[in-house]
Amino acid sequence: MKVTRSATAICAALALAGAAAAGCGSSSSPASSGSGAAPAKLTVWRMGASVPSQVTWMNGVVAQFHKQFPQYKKTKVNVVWVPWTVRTTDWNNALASGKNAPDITELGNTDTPTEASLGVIANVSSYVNSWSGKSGLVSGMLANDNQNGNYYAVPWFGGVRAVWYRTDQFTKAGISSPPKTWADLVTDAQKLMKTFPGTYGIDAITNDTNAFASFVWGAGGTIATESHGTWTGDLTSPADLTAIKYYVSLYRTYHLSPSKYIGQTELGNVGATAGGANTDFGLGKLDMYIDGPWATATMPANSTDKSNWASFPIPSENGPNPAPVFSGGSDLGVFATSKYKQADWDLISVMDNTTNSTSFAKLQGFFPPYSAKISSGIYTGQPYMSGFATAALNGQTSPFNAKNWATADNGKYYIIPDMLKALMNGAPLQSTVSSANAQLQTVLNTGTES
Amino acid sequence: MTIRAAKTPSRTVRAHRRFWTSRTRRAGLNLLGLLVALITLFPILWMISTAFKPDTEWYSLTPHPLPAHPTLSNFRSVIDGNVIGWPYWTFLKNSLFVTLVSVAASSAVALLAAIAVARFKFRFRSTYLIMLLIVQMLPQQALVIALFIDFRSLNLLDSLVGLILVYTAFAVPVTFLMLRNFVAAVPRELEEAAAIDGAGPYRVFWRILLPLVAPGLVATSVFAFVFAYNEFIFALTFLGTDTAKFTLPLYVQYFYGRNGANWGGIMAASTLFTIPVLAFFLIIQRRLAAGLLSGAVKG
Amino acid sequence: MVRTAHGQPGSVSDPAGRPPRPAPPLSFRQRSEIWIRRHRVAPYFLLLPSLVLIAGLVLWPAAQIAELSFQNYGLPQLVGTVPTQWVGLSNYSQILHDPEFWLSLRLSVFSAVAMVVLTLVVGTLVGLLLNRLGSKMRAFVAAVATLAWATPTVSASVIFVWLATPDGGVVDWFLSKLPPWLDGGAKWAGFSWTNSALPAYTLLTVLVVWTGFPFIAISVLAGLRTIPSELHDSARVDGAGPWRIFWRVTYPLLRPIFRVLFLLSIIWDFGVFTQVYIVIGELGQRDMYNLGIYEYSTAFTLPPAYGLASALAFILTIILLIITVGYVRASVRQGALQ
Repeated sequence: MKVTRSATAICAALALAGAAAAGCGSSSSPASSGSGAAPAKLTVWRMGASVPSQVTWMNGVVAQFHKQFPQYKKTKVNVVWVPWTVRTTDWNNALASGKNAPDITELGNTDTPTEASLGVIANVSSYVNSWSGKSGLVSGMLANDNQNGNYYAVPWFGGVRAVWYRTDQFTKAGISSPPKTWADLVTDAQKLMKTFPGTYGIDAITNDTNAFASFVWGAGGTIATESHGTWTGDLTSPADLTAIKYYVSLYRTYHLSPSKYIGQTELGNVGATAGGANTDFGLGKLDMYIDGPWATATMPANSTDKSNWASFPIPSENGPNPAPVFSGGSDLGVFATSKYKQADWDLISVMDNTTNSTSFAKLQGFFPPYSAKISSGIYTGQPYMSGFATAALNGQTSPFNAKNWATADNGKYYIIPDMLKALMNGAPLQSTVSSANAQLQTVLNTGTES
Repeated sequence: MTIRAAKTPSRTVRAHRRFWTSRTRRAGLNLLGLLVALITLFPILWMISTAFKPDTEWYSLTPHPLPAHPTLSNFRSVIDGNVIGWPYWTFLKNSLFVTLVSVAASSAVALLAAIAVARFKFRFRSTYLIMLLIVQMLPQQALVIALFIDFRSLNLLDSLVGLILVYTAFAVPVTFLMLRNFVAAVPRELEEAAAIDGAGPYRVFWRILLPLVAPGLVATSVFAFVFAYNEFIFALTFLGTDTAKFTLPLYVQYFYGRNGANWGGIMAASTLFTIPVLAFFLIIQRRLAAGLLSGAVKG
Repeated sequence: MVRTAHGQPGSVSDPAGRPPRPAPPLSFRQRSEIWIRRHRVAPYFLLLPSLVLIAGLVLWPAAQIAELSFQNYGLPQLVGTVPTQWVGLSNYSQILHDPEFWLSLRLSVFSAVAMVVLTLVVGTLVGLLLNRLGSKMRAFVAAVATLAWATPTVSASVIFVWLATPDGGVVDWFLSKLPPWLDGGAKWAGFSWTNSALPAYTLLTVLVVWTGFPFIAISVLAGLRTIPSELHDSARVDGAGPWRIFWRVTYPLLRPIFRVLFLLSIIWDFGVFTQVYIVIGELGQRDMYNLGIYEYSTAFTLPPAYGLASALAFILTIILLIITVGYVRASVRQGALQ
């Protein structure tokens, strides 16, 4: 499956950057602490909001953990839910205060390079290298978690974004097939707004660079490129500018998106787990919604027309192939301050074994990190997954795997979101984009603004 | 009855006119006052009204002042605290604990200092006063950085004790300045008379000074209470992610931050947080006005 | 303070003329009381608790902020893996070259000016109104105003965000119903007040004025009560209208109060934090930061930069202290040192 191929691209990119390929021996071992002692409690930080099916899944995993490792029979596993948009604040809090730190944390796969370099997650090379599951992992996904020859996390699942829509709405508006070009996207959105007055055509939010990237890549642009360890910002290139202009025009020129989405993520305000475009789509106020298949967990319980949900890949500028999408996903890491690293790893090995990671992925519409499982096609019988599956064939990660990307985009600085926000509020194109580009370049290279 | 002259109206007519104009004026002023009161009260009333509305009514195209089908479900979700994992009573307990202890401590400390300044003349008196005036103005969001680093090394993070210390310290200047006027207002003759009668300093304090300063203590306690109960920056920074120790303002903000669209719930949380304070204020309002007028304006 | 009549040490002479009996030895308590009285240190003991608290929790951190502002202090330094690095003035020069700093400073200054002016104007008008009302109505309006003042800032902030929310907010509905000659109309439907700086700070100004005007009103009312009514009456007899009466009679007499209120308002409104934090949706919107929020975000988002943030904090403090000097002088003139 193409996920493997794009993973190869990641691997190649990282090899360029000097990271050791999967399988190179690591020289340092993680600090072993209390490997024999059984902890009273292990805290796991999960990203997002609690969902009953995930709670059930986790309970099952904990039961297996207790059975497989009888020495941890008495260890309680405590799950804390952290919204994506505040995860760096909470990690910072835990590290800086030394209190309430988790033992295991889920991280976005693009967080791993940043957090590893900041010392948030521990070096788990010796555990990974002696793990039976290591060989079946998608090599590119694992390579993402490697820095200077050491592993700092393991991949848990992958996912991509596409456009959610309703088949009955498309039929009623006279749209025979999903749009494959940007122009078609606009026309279809306009048709939908005409057929269903009072709704919004598409959510042109400003704070989801993972989705916006598809527009840049769909015009043939790159957000930033890296060569010999130095990053150059490409936002001012013609292709990037085309994409930026188009995205901003969705709001300013074509009025397909309401003004309230400016400054928001796909879930609403920063920090919220619901209340934004996702709620609007679920309640029928938004016709097309860009998010991953995991969005089913964030849709309101009283959503309308669940049976008509479907997906199509984000179109590229001129078609016919869809735009490349960001190969997202989550990793599992051991928090740097945890006192029970062996126990943490044991739990991770249960959470991330082939069976469990596949069942988890199926629950949430993700892709498991094991090549064999992906290629055996796990999503028959879930019609809305087809768009995501198609999109996943064309995945891309750079520049999101830059060491300082999380800082630049959604940790401390919000360079691209703020740029889009300013543009949607009427700022002049050239000056805004070039100052954002300069800032992006500086932060990617140095981690701070200057 | 005076004969009506051609141009000058009679005294009665003039009297009537004056009466009418002044009554119109009074009615006009009253109307204005009522308008001011209504506009001022509106946000609070809207908060309470939304708290009782079911979610179907939050986004109605035309806002209705009263809920059509009032419900307690928003309050229930706030009290259960499922979004954060702890019930409302935990946060109420934390808030009251921190507030009451810091009010008591700051009142005691400030009273002692007020006695010193009001009753003695000593070398550094002016320095002390100026220091207190300046200290009042140091911004909390600036000091919080250093306090965070200090508390971390003192292991006072994620601790209500740390909050109590900070609240007490920051409440002392305002409390002191108000109490000083009250202590100064107690006539020295009373104390001197008691001293002549053989009372020791402690007895003079407990039997003479304290009862007379008591209304001032009430007024300043109110200020300290309001400060500690509402305080946000230090609680946000020092309690971090330790949700079990959150105070009420943090709970309301957490509810708001995580639950973006649950306006009924957010308003219910805000109502449960605000109403006790407002009720308390209405009750002591008259005493408070007296305290404000005599104590605060001067200094 | 209090003079006691506790026994002084010394001999007790017998009226019959026998040699004096040696006095009983003094207790520790008596001796310490004598020492205290002789050296006049009683006030210092009374001041000690407040001094300890304030020195430890306010003055010492303030000094630390100044010290940190010359250092490069981040997470590694906090945890202890890397020693502190002194960087001299480079934090300050970085700030001065940072467009985000200047933007946040501009926002702070402009919003403070707007908030202070409007709060004073509204508060004074309401105070004047209260002065003219009958006692029952005055008590009612004053009580209602006190409720607005007493509302906790967190609550007031979420209420105003709710009032201004695009879906279901009263403000947008009301504005869309206004006639076009008042600049109303459909363009206000769905208008978001919190996603760019000008609407957000307009909302914040209304919020701060709502919570701040009662204090001004009641202070002005108290001040008005001290003006003898003959002054107003004689001015009215001389034919002065209410506007002139205010500026020629009332304002000059109340100027000391206004000065204090003005300075206090500037200090409070320049340092406004909680309301901004909630209205702009925590720390995710960098283009709407004021100086205080910018400094907080620099310190408490990953990766934390405590040194740089301390430099920002120091600048914020200096600005406030400059204003405070004016307040201290006005207070002293008003008799704060009496």
